[in-house]
Amino acid sequence: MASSSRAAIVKSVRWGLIGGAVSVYLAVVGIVQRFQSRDVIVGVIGIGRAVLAIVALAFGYLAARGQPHTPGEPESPRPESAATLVAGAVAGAVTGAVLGLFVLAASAVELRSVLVSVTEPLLDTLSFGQAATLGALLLTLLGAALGAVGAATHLLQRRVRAPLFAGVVGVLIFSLFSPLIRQVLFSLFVPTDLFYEGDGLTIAGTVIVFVAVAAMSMLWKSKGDAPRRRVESMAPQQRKLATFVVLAAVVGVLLYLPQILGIFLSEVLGTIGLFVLMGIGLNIVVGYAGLLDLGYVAFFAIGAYATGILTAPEGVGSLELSFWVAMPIVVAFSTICGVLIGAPVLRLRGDYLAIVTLGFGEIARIFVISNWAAPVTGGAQGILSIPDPTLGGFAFDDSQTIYYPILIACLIAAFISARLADSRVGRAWNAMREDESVAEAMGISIIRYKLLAFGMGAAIGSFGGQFFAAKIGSIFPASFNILVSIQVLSLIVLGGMGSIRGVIVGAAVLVGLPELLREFAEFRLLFYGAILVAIMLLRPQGLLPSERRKRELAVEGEEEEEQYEMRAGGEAGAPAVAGGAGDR
Amino acid sequence: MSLLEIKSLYKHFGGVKAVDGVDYQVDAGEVVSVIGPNGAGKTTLFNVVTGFNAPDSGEIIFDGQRVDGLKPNQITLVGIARTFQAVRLFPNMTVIENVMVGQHPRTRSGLTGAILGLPRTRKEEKAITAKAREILGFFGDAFPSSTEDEYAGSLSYADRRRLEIGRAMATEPKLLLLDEPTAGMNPAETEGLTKLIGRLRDERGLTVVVIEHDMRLVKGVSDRVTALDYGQKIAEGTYAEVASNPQVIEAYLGKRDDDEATAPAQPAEKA
Repeated sequence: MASSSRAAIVKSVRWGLIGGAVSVYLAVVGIVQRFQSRDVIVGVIGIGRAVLAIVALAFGYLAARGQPHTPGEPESPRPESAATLVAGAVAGAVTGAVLGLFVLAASAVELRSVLVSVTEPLLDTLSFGQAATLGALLLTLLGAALGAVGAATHLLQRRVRAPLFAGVVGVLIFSLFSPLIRQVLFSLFVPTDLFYEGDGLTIAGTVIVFVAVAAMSMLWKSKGDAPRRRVESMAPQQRKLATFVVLAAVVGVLLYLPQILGIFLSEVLGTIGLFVLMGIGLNIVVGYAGLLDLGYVAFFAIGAYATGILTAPEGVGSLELSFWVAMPIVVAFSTICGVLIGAPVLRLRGDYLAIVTLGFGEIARIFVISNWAAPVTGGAQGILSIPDPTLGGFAFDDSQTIYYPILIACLIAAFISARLADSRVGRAWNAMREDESVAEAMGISIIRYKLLAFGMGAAIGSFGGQFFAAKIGSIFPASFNILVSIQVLSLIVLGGMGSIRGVIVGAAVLVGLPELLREFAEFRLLFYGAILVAIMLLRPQGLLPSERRKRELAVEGEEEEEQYEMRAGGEAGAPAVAGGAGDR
Repeated sequence: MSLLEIKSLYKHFGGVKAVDGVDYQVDAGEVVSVIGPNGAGKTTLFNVVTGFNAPDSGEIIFDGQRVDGLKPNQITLVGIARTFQAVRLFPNMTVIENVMVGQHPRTRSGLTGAILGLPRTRKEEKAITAKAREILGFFGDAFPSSTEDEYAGSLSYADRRRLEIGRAMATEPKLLLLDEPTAGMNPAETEGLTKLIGRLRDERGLTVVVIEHDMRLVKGVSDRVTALDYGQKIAEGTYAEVASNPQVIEAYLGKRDDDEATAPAQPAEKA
């Protein structure tokens, strides 16, 4: 008994030390102080402290996992309460104490010359404006309390825990994305003063959001799967109609979105759209065909520069083509470049391919700045005054209008990508990804299908570049660095390789979130790294992986019936054959 | 006329004479076996015939056409299909998709058809699916329609072997090369496969060459047996002739040594 409780404490302390390290890290890199300037709840808690509080809660929760259950109640899903709370409190206290020690150390020793973010205001934030010793004590006590609260969630029943959790997450979302949500509420004629003061939630707003989200969560738990069950019970024809209705609704919302979101957020939306385009393109190369291309930015650059050169009034020949006339030329040019870049790397696989394509991406950027290309590409000055696309006198000249062509391009790209995935070409790519030599033994020309993948990826990726040029109006070589390739690859991995929905979610998370959380921007790469590591550990298939299992082989509804008949026939016929073969 | 004709074929890897002057013929409609101890050059012979390795010299004539030096995908197109010694399916594709990939060389839809959903493409896609189901049906109860959407990687070992044969069948070959199809199978499964190979010829009109160590299967299916050792053909004839050939016994057993593991003659008598 004694040894087991000792082991439990050691475990809690260990979790607490990890939590402390995480807290100190967050403070040292500057996240805490940077975020503190924004409030979660006005006058109560800023984002910086909220982050630390979440760390303490989370590690309290983690430390209290796997506590022994109350003896005599084997049926009870709830663990012994005292031990659980103690475990959480210990972990939380250690977390707080580590942070407290850090405060003490930082106030005694000048750390700022090395760790630039360890400033007076940070220490003030951490020690609640008190002296360091008192602050450290407060941190420890508060840590213990939060850890215990985190652990206490184990004691709650599932149906209580879920809504509470949802409510807290809801409050966090409402405060983190306050600019977005304020704008949406404003466009929907909901008075926002009740909810928000500055960028933070008011106390009344917090309560309303918490209650509403928790209630919705409860409702979803009890009734949430009713619509799905109803859809599942539908006849194929009806189900098709339902799918169509849902799709139409989604498209309707997408069409109306810029009006709701306003100018700034439409800008973000457009940027997400560009990355969706590139993500869909790269997904064909990496997700379908399994060719790890780290130089995808080259096609973004080719699309942008070709558009700039063909449409801008300055530069070579000042062609001044219209955006739409230039489009097919740019796509054709980009496809050819894709094939040309693909040709020399046909024999390379895996890591080697990645390294070489990485080089190609850099070559594209350096080529653009080079003196040799400067007369055409503008060198370091880039290409300026690229005209806005116009259509019959209507100019797509701001973020709310350029959104529409981008949206259409995304929809077309997604459609093409989905059609290809389900075709003979898609199967050949998949086979190649799985095992190149065997694919070749199945009669698939590796050369042809690799080049096809590179060309297809380049063509779709070039759309990203084209709209980028049209949207920004001027392009500079600095926009086309390796980070773009990494970003596009990351969003595919995050969303789930080979999945189109995954690309969209990945783009929204990796490109949209940092735009909404401006405080986030300087930590962008840090978060990319953290998110990717977390995804690889927790959900290696990505957030929304492609569900190849559920895929329908038959195209039309009538065929399904045939299928059923065939199945029935097959099953009836099976025993006879089985008897003959006897190989089961 | 012979379907496959190999004339003085050589393939050396450095100092290893994997295939060392082999002449070999397979007639249409035959089921023949290639036996020989490990490292005798059987798989290399397959690899050279299917284009995985280019021969150093020699001729391979298939169906009246020179095929040596062609790429594997071209070889598949002219009508030679194979399976692999270590099963090599596409594990993250479904059972039916694996077979559908096999239809690749017999179909033609490309990008445009797929993107636009042209009627011709849809029709072809339907035909591919139907063909794949028909081939899966050939294996009796091994692949009921409920398993067709399972990932190939999740199948049992014997089913993977069968699926690999199905995938090769889907390329609509004239000649099917099976590389140790019973490796890792239990006796009942081996017996089932023996019958299956017979059915491949009788029902599907295929010519089959089998590399095999399991002498029950070799005895059960072969019209003719060829034994290789050190890259050279050491015996050819009916099973009984080859099994009693002193050179073959020596190749398997070494000189006057009793080794029960891979002896061709004695275990076969038992079976």
